[in-house]
Amino acid sequence: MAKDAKKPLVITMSGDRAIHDVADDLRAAGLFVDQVLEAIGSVTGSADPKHVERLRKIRGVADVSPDHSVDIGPPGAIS
Amino acid sequence: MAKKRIGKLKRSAHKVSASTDDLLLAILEQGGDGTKTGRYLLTFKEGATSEGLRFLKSEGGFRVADARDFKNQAVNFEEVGDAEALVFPEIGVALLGGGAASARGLNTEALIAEDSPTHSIDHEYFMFATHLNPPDYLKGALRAVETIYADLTESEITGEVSPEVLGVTWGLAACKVPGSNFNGNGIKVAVLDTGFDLGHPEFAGRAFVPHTFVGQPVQDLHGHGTHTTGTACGPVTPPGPIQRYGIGFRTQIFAGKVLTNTGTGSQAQVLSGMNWAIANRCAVISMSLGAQIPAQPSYTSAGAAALAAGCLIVAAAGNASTRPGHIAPVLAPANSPTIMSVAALDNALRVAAFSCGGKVDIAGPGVGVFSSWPRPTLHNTISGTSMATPHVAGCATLWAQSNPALRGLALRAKLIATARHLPYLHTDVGAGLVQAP
Repeated sequence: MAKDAKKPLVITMSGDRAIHDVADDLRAAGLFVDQVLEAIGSVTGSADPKHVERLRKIRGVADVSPDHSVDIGPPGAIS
Repeated sequence: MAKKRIGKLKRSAHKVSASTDDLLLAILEQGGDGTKTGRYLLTFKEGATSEGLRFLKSEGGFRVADARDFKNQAVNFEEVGDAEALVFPEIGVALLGGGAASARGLNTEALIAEDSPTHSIDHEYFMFATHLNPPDYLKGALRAVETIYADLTESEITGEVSPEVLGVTWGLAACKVPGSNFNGNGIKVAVLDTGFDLGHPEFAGRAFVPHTFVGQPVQDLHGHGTHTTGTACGPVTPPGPIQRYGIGFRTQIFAGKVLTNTGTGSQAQVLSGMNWAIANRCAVISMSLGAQIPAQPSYTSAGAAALAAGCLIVAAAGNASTRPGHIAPVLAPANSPTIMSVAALDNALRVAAFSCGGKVDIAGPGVGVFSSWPRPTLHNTISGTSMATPHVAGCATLWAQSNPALRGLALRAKLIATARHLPYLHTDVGAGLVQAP
């Protein structure tokens, strides 16, 4: 029984609070913080989806989005 | 001057530093449509910026802030104070606080009269899906870049690039790289990709700063990262009969592995790489990667942070189209307004069939591109907007070397202003084919 309901998330700062203070509040609200990316104003981590609304309400958070996979484009384009 | 009683909110909207919330509230109060910020962008005639500055101060009575008052012209909006106009001398544009403009009885006819130093006045539009810091000047300046581009674009005759140019790839010839006096010396360029073959003989002795974000060694077992890095940074004279394929051959290369050896990664890993490149103040950040998703606030914010730090991010528009039947939208991160989106062209300078359309800023050679490949192969010829992107990144390193003021938005504006115009839709090729200085 896999009970790990955590989903990877990317949280974007609004910039009106220190990112490490926001990261502390995110942790307290249920986010397992992976990285605090100070130069770009983002925090990555994972949380149970039921906590997402709570994360969104934290002061200093502009956006909470699911992490997406990224690649180099369809292989069909490579000749 | 009318001494109307102005509420606190409206007064704050007078300043150019008004927050996005203040602007939106002021617009809503006035019953605006919500797409215009209420501020104005004034484009000065070429070479008339200082005259324009005087004009704003004396004729207009504006309190004016100048981007040159900030270190490296990195405007900190909180320090603009109560200025009602902010001048960006590098791009010849001023942002005017909306309330201030009307309170001063701003007369658009006078402003664009023959003998006035101003060329045009435009509404500033909201550009971002989310709140950012520092958002306001970037919104204005990005809009300004578009305006300047529209003004500067002149038609040129398009022709096929001669495949007979010996010694260089068709892509480098098309971008006018061989005639350039610049080599990227002193410029840091980050390539965020599948890593690099650090033992490639044609890169022996080059300055590398490798870093992995995916838990695998930087050593590229895929090939994609070695190919894109080769185009942006490869050698000026590869040994033997090998044609020149690299642009910024004296750049310092930050090889950030954000995609695994299978060519995939997560957005969080990509963001980590962007954070690293910006923290290291790489003037140019090349990203031949993406995902078919809407513009992501995290990427838009990262792009804004990059510009504020004097870094320019260029990213692949994507390869999901099957033209002429289907034009797929631009991928994230290229679809973020703060990130330059690169379309792909073939050697007749036509839009590549696979090249995504929509939010496209510029185009580069992306069909049949010869570049480096991990040992033992050493070279490979492949296609994609992934290949077009490092052509833009490489040319950007040359421009950055040509003038230390060409960083961030100014670098972006220069690339757009100097691109070779092509007879295609802006949504397909943006400003046109990137050109070296």
